[in-house]
This record gives sequence, C-alpha cells and structure tokens, in this order.
Amino acid sequence: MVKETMGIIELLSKVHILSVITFLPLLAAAIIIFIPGKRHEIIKTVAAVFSGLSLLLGIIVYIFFDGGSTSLQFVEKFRWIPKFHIYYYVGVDGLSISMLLLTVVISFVSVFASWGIEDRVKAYFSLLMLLETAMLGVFIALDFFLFYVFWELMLLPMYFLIGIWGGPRREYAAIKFFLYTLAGSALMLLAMIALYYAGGKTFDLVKLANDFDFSKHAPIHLFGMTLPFAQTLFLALFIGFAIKIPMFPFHTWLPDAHVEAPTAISVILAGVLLKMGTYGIFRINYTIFPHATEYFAYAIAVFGVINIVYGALVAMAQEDFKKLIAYSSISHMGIVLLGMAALNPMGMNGALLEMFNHGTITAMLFLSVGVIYDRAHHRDLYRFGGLAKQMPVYAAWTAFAFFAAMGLPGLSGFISEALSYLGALKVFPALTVIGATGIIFTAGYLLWTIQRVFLGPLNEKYATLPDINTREIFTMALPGFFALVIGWYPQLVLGKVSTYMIHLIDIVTKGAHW
Amino acid sequence: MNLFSPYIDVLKIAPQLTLVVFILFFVIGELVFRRKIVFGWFSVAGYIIALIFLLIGHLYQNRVLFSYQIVEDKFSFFFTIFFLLAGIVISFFSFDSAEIKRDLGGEYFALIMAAILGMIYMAGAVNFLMLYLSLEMVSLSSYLLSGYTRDDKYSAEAALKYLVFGATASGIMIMGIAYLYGLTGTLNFSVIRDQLVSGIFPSFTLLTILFLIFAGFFFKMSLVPFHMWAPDVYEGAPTPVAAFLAVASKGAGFAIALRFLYTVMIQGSPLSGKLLSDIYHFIPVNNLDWPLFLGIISVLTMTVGNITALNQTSVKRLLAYSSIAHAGYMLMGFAAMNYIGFYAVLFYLVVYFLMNIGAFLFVQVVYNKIGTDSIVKYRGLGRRTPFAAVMMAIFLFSLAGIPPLGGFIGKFYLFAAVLKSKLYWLAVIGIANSVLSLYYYARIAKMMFLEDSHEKEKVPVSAAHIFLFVILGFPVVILGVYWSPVLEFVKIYSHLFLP
Repeated sequence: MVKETMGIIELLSKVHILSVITFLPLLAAAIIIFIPGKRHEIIKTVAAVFSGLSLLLGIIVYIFFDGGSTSLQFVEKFRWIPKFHIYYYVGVDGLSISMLLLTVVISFVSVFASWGIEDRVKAYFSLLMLLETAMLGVFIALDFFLFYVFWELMLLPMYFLIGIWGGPRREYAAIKFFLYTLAGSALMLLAMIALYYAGGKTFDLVKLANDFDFSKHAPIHLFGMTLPFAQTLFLALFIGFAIKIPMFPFHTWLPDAHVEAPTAISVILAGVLLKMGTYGIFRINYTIFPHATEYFAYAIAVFGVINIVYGALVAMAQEDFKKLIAYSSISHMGIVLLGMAALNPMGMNGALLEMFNHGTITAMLFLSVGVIYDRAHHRDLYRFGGLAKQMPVYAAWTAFAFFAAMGLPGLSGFISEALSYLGALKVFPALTVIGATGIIFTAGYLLWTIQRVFLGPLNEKYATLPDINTREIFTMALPGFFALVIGWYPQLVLGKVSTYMIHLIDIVTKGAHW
Repeated sequence: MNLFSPYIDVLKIAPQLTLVVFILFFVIGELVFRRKIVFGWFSVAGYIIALIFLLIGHLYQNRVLFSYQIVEDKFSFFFTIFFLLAGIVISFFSFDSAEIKRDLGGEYFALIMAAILGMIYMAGAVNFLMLYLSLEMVSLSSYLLSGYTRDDKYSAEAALKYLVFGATASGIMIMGIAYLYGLTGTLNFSVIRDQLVSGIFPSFTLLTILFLIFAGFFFKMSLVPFHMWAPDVYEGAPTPVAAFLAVASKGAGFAIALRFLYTVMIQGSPLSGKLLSDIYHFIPVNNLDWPLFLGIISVLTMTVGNITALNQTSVKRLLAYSSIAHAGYMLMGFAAMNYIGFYAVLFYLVVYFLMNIGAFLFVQVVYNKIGTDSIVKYRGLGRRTPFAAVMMAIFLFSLAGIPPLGGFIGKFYLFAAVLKSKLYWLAVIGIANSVLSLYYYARIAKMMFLEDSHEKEKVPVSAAHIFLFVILGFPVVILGVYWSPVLEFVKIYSHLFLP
C-alpha cells in the first residue's frame, strides 16, 4: 500500500501536476476566446469543466500530500531567465496545500455562481479563468519573482471583473481596489529587488530563508534616515500584504469592492484573495525575517485585535447586507492576524485553519447575499423581514452559514477561532480578552441580521419570491460541506498542515531551516 | 591603420547612403506619382534595404569614419536598427492616417526619412560638430513634420512652438560647445576626454559648459525643465508624427546623452569594449554629485509628467505627459551609474518603442473615425472596436508597468539598477510615480470598457493598422513572460567605443 502511494506521488510529480492544475484554467481562457460570443452555454460549460478538472486534480494532490513531512512536495524547477537567476520554481508544503485546496474549491463554486451572467459572457469567463490561474500560481510559487508576477496578474482580471460587471459605483470601486493593491505590491517589488542584491542575487524563497541572516545586513539610508535592513524590508512586505488582508487602516477598499462586485467575484475576493495577504506574511515575512517577525509580533497582534473589534462594530452599523458581510470579513481576518502573531502551535494552526474556514464560510455568506439580491434587487436589511416563511430552504442555508461564521460549536469556525484565541491568550492575555469581545459582537450582528431578514412579519412586496434553486444550493453546499466536516473532523486540514506550521515556529524562533 | 583611414569606403555608409538616395528619389518622384501609398511602400523598401546593408556591414566592428566624426560600434548599431524599425512602423502607421493628405506623400516620407538619417548620425557622433549638425537635421525635419497639416491651426502652432523652443535649446547648446572649444581647442570627444581626465580646467567653468550642453540633450529627451514643448507639439502634430517624435526623436536624445556621458565623462577606462565594472564614476566636475543630480532631474521629470497627465482631457496630450514621465523613468538608469542601468535604458527603449507607438496608433484609429482624441469620446470603444481596444488596454497597462507585460520588465530592470546602487530614495519616489501613473492609464481603459455610450457604430481598423497592432502588441505580451533574447541583445549592444 505504501509502495503504491509512493508510485502515485512519483507519477503526479512526473506529470507536473501543480503546473497542470494552475494552467488548466488559463487553457480554458484561451479556448473560450475562440468560442463564438453568442454560445453562452458552451462558454460556461468549458469554464466549469476546466475548473472542475483543477478541483479534481487539486483534491488528488491534497490526498497524496504527505502531512507528516515538513519538506516541499511536488516540486518543479526550471530556469526561466537564467541571466537574472529567475526560476520557474513551484511546490507545495503544509502551508500552501490548504490554500491550494481552498482556491480550487472556491473557483469551482464561483463558476456556478456566475451562471446568471448574460452580458459579455465570453470576456467574463476568460477573465475569471485567468484569475484562477493567477491565484493558484501565487500559492504554489517558490520563486519571489514568479510569486510577484502571479500576484500582480490577479489585478487586471479583478479590475475588469468588478469594473464591467459590478454595481452602480463599480468604476470607483474597481480603480480603488487596483490602486490600493498596486501601491502595496509596489513596495513589495522594491523589497524583492533589495533582497535579491542583499541575498547574493537570488529570488529563490527557500534559499533566501535558509542561507541568509538579514538582521545583520547593512542598514538602509533613506531620506537622511538610517533604517535597519531587516525591519524595513519586513515592513515594506508586510504593508503590501496587509493591504490585501485587509488590515486596519488599509481596509477601506474592501467594502467598496465587495459592495460593487458581482456575487461570484465577491466570493473569490473574500474566499481567496484576502487569504493571500496572510499567506504572504507566513510564506515570506516569517521565513526570511525571523528576527523581525518576533520583533513585530506584538504589533501584529494589536492590529489583529483592532481588526476584530473594529470590523465587528462597523458591521453592526451596516444597513447593506453585503457591506455587513464585508466588514465581518475584516473582523475574521483579524482573528488570523492575532493567531499568527502568537507564534505557538495552537495560534499558528488556528490562524491557518481560520484562513481556510473563513474562505469557505464567507463564500457561503456572499452566495446567500447574492441569492436575495438576485430576487429582491436590493440589499437593504431594513426592507426585508419574515422571509423564512416565504423562502424556508434559503433561510436554513443562510442560518447555517451564519452559525458557522459565528463560531457555533460543531461547525468549522468554532475550531479555528478557539485555537487562535487560545493560542494568543498564552502570549497576549490582555489583548486576547479585548479581541474576544469580537465574538459577542459577531454573534450580535449576525443574529440581528437573521432577525431583520428572516423573522417578523413578511414584507408583502416579497410574498412572491421563489425559493433558492438547485444551482444556488449546489454552490452553497460545496463550501458548506467543509464548514460542517471540519467542525467535527478538523484533522481534515490540520492533519496536512500542523507539522509544517509547528516547523514554521521553529524557523521563526529557533532559526531552523525551511 | 586602415581602421582610422579618412578615405571613405562607400560600403561602410551604405545604409545611410540608401536613405539619401531614397530621399532624393522622393523629391523627384513627387513629379511623377501623386499617391501617398506609393511613397509609403517606397519608404518601407528604403528602410528594409538600409537594414540589409546594415546587417551586412555589421561584420566590421568599431570603425571610425570621416576623420573622427562618426563611430560605428555596437551601441550605434543598436540605435540604427531602432531608428530604421521606427521608420518602417511609422510608414505603415501613416498609410491609413486621415491626417496625412493623400497627395503630399512624397515630402512627408522624405522628411521622416531625413529625420531618421539625422538620428542615425546622432547615435554615432563622436565629434561635437557632427553631433550638432545631425541634431539640427533631426530638429529641422521635425519642425516641418509637426506643422505638416498646414490648414490646421493647432498643427501650425505646434510647429512654431517647437521651432522656438528647439532653436533656443540648440542655441544654448552651441554656446556650451563653443566654450568647450575655447577651453580645449577641439571638438573631438576622445581629445576632450583626455584633457578632462588631466583635470586642468577651472571646474566651475566646466560645470557651466556641461549644463549648457545638457540643455540641448534634455530638450531632445524632453526632461524637466526642457519638457514644455512636448505636450503642445504632440497634440498639434499629426498623430504619426507625434508617435515618431515621442519614440524615435526621444530615443536619439537618449543615444547622444548616453554616448556623451559614458565615453567623455566617465572615469577610468571602461570604454573600449566592456562596461562591466560594478559602479561607474563620472569625472568630477566642481564636486557635482552625479547620481544626485541625475536622480533629481529624473524625479522632477517623472513627477511633473505624471501629475500633469492626471487631468488631461485629450488622449494625445495625456500620452505626451506620459512620455515625459517615461523619460524620467529611463533617466533612473543613468542615475544608477552601473552596468545594469545602462542596458536597462536600452531595454526600456525597446519596450517603450512598442507600447508607445501602439498607444498612438489606437489614437489614430479612433481619430480616423470620430475626428477627435477627447478622452470622453473614448466611451464604449470596447464594444465598437474590440480588437483595437484590447490592444490599447495592453499598451496602457504595459505603460503603467503591470506584469506580465513588457513595460513591467523594463521598469523592473531600471529599479534593479537603482537599488543595486543603493539609491533607495530614487527607487521609492520612482515606484510611487509608477503607482500614480496607473490612475490615468486606467482612466482610458475605464472609458473604453467600463462605460457605455449611445454611439454603437463600429470603428473600422485598416489592414495596415491591424498588422501594426499585432507586431507591436504581441511582443509587449511576450516580453512580459519571456524576455531573455532581448535582454541578451541589449547587453551585447550596450558597448561603446571611443578611439
């Protein structure tokens, strides 16, 4: 049996399985360009088939990924631009494997969530597929340059997807998203090049992490200031990632982008894109600047708590259903920040699990907003009421998603939030207590929302609304499956990731090699 | 001593002679042919024949011609190819331009070719007399070209402005050259260099002379404070001429500036052949901090260009300011003063050639149909001309430096050069500018794709223009993903020769 498994792993490596998963959607985009624009069904089917294939292969890789090992698996390395030491270098470890799974799941869901698109279908689905390739690429890239290219590759499709198919203020939201993210990645670009020269001309993330101690590098002179090298670069990268998370005070693009984006794009945005911020911090900041990470850990925790509490309080004040979910995302990403700052096994595992869980749960939340918006054509929480009577199935699914987001025991949110808070409690007791009030606020705004939308007397205007249809149930069921199963069997994810996350703590605190 | 022979071997300047023959032919040919397209094809043929001669003659290397007037080295070879290709592209560009009248083709293509001939000599000049003459040849042709649509008052205004600014700048420059001659008794680069190295001149005088000479260079490169002519000229001039000035004429400015700084002014002797040492130093002139000076000019140029571009209502004007900003980016490569900086400028010029001409081409396509380049009229063009609009989006986002497009790679090397020399302040301001620039490029994309207009009529794209979109657009995308060949090419051809 063991031998057979080894054989399959070898086979998967031999067929460059990670590249196949990543570039299948790009192939789909290329195919879609050549399909006549009027054949909507064919275009949608091609997108579904190819992202379905990516999903299938992604699950296979996930199954055969060895969770007990800290080493990189399914590695592919080719010279890309040899004269500048740029490699096409991809692989997965415990950190990226969970994100890979999340991305293929959410992308597949978003294709079905986009089934209702009727305007410029061809452009929409080719951009969506391009976006999937870019997201997958970010999570498997092990060369900084490659990482950066994939990271930036997301911007253009996202800009057009929000800008063309979005709501009334879509142009503003799209350019705001674009400029914010670009400003962050601009800092990342400078930090990347500075690292290239400081680290003996390499973009190889593993080499940069293992072979160099940047805390002793000569300081940077900038505008008459003398700045320590490692801390400055840590901050430059951190701000780039923090904008994506989004961490307070860089969060203002998120509510705008979410409110204007079409449902499927909101799902991707909250489900995958936000995770890239925290993923980047884990992948690059933690491994390359271990000392600076310890130095800034408390600050990260503080911002995490601000995110939790601020996000939850602002969410409570929202009248727009979608904006409420957007702010709840900010709040939940704060939990990730708090957990990752703890630098102990519980906190780190909790943070990574929370990234996964939030990705699936928030996808359900945005899908559920999409369902009601498609029917009522508005999202004003005060103009609904009593919908549970009219749309019982929809109400049940939404309640399920809400309870998962609230951290109800038995659902996935509970496990990861508990782990994050417990991990953080050991290190930052006072901060964690403040942060834990977020749980109460979260329960508050979510329950209140259920009350406003589903309970009370039925608004007569909506007495004819049809209930949730099969396609919509299907899109919600897939992430819902993970929300339920991980609630009972967290090992599904933790079994694959925890060895690496514990090793990551050693990298940061004990100077272990990647 | 054949190498320094003052006797002309006609074959050595065959490419240039080809252009001269064609220019003369256009002047006579206008008596016979009355159609623009004929001259267009003839000029394409002329450039191609010149290219062939150039490639044959390239077997010889590092020659000095006409008693130390011109040098032929890898650097001048690079720029000669650059200008000849620009000539071919601009010819195709002009084929279906509504602004270039059908019956005046001969003189139009002759002027373009004369300007290109001048540029080729600019790139090879190693004597201030030759430099000045070739620069004036380019300038005079350019003045006439920008005023080419005589009945259009904006075009006439553009030509006059260009003439006044240009005459002033070259007047200042020739004063500097005259002082330098008074000081050294020669106009020859290598003799001047020898005397500068010996350091016998009063340094403040030398500084003044340098600034006077730089006025001429900066004018051609459209650097602050000699950039003011560019927006008016680009806006008033016919679109193909604007594209020509923005790319070829600016490229020629960069060629002479690079050659002057890296042969005459450079310290040590990394000249003949290799320029590989880590950090270069220029000859000290009155304690001038060269990286700081060049860096400040670079920062001013890109910032002025970008901030002014934000609020433009005419796309041509916007592209003019954007091209000023790009000159600023390229100057970062000068300020870095290292080998990467040198070839990064050449690499950037290649990408800039593709994306900037491409952007002007789209302006031309739209102008042919709706007769304006007002940015609000670009509403809904994504539906009216999908192919061209997608290409325009590629050019715009490449100009903004978004990966995976060629413009990003160009910027990447410029920033790499700057950071290698640890000029962090320049890198930070440069990248901030790059982010800022996205706003106005995205504004055009927004108009085209995100907004709709009641106009539904298709905007046609002619065959010549489709051909150009393809040969300009695809390399922009490919260079963003795989740029090794071009990188190798610019590395090989960033070698200067001074006898």
